[in-house]
Amino acid sequence: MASQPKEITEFVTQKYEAGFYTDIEQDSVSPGLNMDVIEFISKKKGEPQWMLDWRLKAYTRWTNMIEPKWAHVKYPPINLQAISYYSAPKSQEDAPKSLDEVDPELLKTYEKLGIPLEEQKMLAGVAVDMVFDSVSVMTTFKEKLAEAGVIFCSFSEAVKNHPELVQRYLGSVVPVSDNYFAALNSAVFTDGSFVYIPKNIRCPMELSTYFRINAMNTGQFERTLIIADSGSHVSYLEGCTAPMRDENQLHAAVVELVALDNAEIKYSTVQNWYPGDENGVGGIYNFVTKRADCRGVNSKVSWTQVETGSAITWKYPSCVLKGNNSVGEFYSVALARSYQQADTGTKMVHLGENTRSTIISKGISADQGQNAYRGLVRIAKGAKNARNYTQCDSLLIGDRSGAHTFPYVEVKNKTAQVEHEASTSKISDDQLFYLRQRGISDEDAINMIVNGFCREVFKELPMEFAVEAQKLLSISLEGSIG
Amino acid sequence: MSALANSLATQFREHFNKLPGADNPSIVAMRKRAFSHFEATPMPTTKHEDWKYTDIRPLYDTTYTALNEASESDFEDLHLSDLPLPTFTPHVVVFLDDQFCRRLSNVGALPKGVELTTIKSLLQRKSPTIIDHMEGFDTAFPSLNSALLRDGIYVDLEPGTNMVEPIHVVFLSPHGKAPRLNSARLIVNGQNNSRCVIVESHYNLSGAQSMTNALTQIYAREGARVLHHRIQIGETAAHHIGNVFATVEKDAEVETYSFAFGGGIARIDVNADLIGSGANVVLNGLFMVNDRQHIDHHTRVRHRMPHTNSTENYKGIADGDGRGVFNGKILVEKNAQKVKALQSSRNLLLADNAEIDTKPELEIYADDVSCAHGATVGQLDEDAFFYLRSRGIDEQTARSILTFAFAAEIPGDISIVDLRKWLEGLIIDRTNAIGLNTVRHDE
Amino acid sequence: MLKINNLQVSIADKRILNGLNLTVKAGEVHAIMGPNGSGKSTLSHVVAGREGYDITAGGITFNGKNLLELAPEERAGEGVFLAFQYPVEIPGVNNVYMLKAALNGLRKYRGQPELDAVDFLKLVKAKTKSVGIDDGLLNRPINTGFSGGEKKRNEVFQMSVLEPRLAILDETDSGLDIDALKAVGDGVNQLRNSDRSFVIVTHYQRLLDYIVPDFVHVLAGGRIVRSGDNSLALELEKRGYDWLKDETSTT
Repeated sequence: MASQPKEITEFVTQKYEAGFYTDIEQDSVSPGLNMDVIEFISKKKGEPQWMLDWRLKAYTRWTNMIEPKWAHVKYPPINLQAISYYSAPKSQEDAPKSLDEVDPELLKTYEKLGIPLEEQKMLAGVAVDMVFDSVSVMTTFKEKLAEAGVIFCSFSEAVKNHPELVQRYLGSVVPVSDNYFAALNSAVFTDGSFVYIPKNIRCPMELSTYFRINAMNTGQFERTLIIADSGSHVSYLEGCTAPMRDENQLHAAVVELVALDNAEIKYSTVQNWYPGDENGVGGIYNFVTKRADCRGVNSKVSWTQVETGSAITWKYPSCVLKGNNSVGEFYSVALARSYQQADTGTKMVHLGENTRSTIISKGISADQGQNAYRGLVRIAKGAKNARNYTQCDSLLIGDRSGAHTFPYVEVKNKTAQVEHEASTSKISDDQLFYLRQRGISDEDAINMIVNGFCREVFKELPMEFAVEAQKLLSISLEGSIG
Repeated sequence: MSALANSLATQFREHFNKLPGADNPSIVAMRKRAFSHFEATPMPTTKHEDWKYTDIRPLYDTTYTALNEASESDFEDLHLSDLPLPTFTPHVVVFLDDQFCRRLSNVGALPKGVELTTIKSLLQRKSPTIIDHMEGFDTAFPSLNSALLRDGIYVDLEPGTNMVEPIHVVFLSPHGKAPRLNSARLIVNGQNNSRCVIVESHYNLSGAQSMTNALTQIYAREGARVLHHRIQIGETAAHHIGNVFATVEKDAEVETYSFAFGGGIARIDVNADLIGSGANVVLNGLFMVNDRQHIDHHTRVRHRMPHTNSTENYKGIADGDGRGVFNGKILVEKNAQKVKALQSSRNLLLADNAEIDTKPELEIYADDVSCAHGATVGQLDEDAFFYLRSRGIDEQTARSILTFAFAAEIPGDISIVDLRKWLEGLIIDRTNAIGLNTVRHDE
Repeated sequence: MLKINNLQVSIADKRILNGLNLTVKAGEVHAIMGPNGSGKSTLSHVVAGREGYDITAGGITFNGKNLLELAPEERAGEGVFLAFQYPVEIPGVNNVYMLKAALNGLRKYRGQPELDAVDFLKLVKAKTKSVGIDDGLLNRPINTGFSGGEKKRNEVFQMSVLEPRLAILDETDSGLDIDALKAVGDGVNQLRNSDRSFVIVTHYQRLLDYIVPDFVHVLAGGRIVRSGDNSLALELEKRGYDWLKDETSTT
């Protein structure tokens, strides 16, 4: 019959839109990892001795650890000695003082990514920190933020200018030996963002970081630390892209969030690292440790992520709910298509009384994509009246895709209420026919249904990010329609 | 090597050539292979994903007597009517410490095509049928069961046979001097379009320190239907390892109930393989833990063919210092399209020191499926609680009524009325249901 | 406009339609009645292009075009609209958003310029009034959490926005109370004109009190066994379908 659905193969595969390479001179260290390399990185960044000591301690721990194998992903062994642990655009040597001084090639990169800095500066009022390969290139809006007492700078600057804050909080959420990749990051991280919101300050604008891996054979190991002091509030956005490369590149970041009494942090990510080509060659290994410490009473941390990129994603943004009445939230959309593999989810560890958590996870698997939700909800003995609600839904597109759900629920307090729901299904033929009958093409109809499926998560994103996320999802899904 | 493995190795070496079928080289070889597999499989620790919530070191640290013959005279005074066992059928087969007990068993007239055979006689008869069921396990305990196997029951139903009256197989671990390890075995072979109802009870006599390693294999051939009930009751000194393997062919159905009431450490794995289209499996389960008991239910449903269905409904209640675990996995293999799978794990946590861990998993490699699971851990519904109290029912009774109602859903659909009533009675006892009987009489 | 010629349709080797003939001219309203299982819904679905039916013989043309060669959205582009018996719920997809995509899809198909957001909203506002649908439903996810009556009204509302040339109402009256039935009838009557045709598939006569058809056909055993004017519908209401079965079996 004429109205048979078009087969997957009939569609032209959509190319990765952010997959261009910026041709600027790089200042890199030759591949390999040892104490000398760590000292080189530390010296290059002009770090104080305590920072170097901390790195070396992490390195020693790391050498005694083994790579975790429990995730539902498959990949050949990573040769960590073949990676260059420091790569910076050359012009960074004499760092830019204003946007005009930034390498125009670099600015073009961000333009191609759809981040016109000037425009954002004017219209959106978003302060942007850009991390290009390993170093932070430029932080906009520094002055305006400084008026409010907000510190938003590159991690390197923070080490120099705010050592007391860094020393106090670095590693206090994700200890150096937390896991293999976190230990590696602690030893070799090159840059990242640092945010401090002082007491009772509502950060006057959204803060944003764009990460991009550009150079060949580099790993990106950024470190982000956000501290929301008592009564403060901040919304932080993170975007990621990488050029197309045949070889796999490693991204092992660590993000630590600290929310003190009555503070609130909203952390949103749109991750679009290069996923590899349609045969599964190349792509980013995205092995990230993100954790929030809801240390204070009534504190709240909300993670929202839209994960469309990376060959492999291994990522569990988590909340440790220590403060009484603290709240943790996790909203996630993860897409795995072609040969992408995602093992992502969250951990909600309830320690304080009346702590609440919500988990909404939407997984989409297309082609050979394998998508796993892995989540832990732990109610500790002392966590009286803790509440958790988890909903994780999977959508399958194509008969070679896979969707997996691995939730762990551990309850040690009898006043807890924990509820977990999960479902897996394909897009229903009824829905598809309904929309097509109204005159909508099958591809648009699928996009519409998928976006509807993800709506609960998208509505948690700041407006401009939500639009970007929807667009990204549509682009990523093109050509995978069965 | 662990104390358990050491002592079993010694006992096995001493006894393997005296066990049933010792004159048959292929059976002896099978036992040796099975025992090697047990020895070669590392002891599960909480680092193993499948044993994350259940620490069985206490089992491995104990020396159990496994293979010595018990003498009938030890149990002369034992009468079934003295034991808290349900009575609902004229067909009762009793095993005492692995040995078929003729005195306590009573099998009425069986319909044509139904055959009950002790596994001991099958081993002695060099029956090739039995050998087929002995190997190929991927975990240690089923292999151990085959290695040490002395007896059990084999239920065979010829094609088209309909066995309406239930068959009750009772495994008792009576009081012995030294800690005992028993190997209980039940095999049900439901040939094409046959039907049967099986009840399997494991009962540990008060105070006996023991470990039961039970293995049940159910085959529902094309169009067959097997209804299986498993009841396990134990004291804190009694440990229990149970494995159920159900193989469900085209258009066949297996429905199984697993009731676990106590035990020091009880670990029950229910595995169902749906290997023909139209196969259907229903898994029901209930556990109640108290004191320092630990019960771990694992289910694994593998949809290997298109058009297969599974429904799982498990409930758990943890009281006292008890810990309850549910880990259910639904696996839908590639090309197993048009699969429907539902799984529900609901749990009540009633005491300060109790714990519930639940891990409902989906692993799906086909797209045209409809799979869902839900898990809850919580307390009694406060609205219902308030409602009852506003009607003048005291707090304790209200709690008992609601706890009973929560648990009784599981045996609620059991068609053997006397068995269902007996289970409900057991639940009432365990919910400390003061005044509950009166309430029920008023219904 | 619509010509169905000797249509034979099976599902999984079971013959549902068995040589059905029907001609609908512009501006006409045809009612198709018949007992349960007579193939009424199959006919609606096949005209709209639903998958899963084997068309073993016959054809359907619409304004001279072979409908069977077109995808559902292309048929919609040609002007075919199906009001579903069971309008499907689509969580998260906004009703009006979908409608805008649909309308612009149709306009694009017809080579017309797309409507911008302002013009579209004007149109929606006007139609909301004329159909009498609750504003609140417009911005909810499609049919999600709607009552039965709300779903059916939403179908008529969508029809009024999309302005089809041929509207097929598949048991739109089922499960409606009198008020909703009247609202559906009013909505359809407003859209009646000399260019637009309707095929009203129904089990009961009661919707035809509100929408008076030009022709009434009785579908039984996969073919039209009797045709007439509105009086046939009244006769069916009085006598049921059984007498027809007896009659057809003897013919």
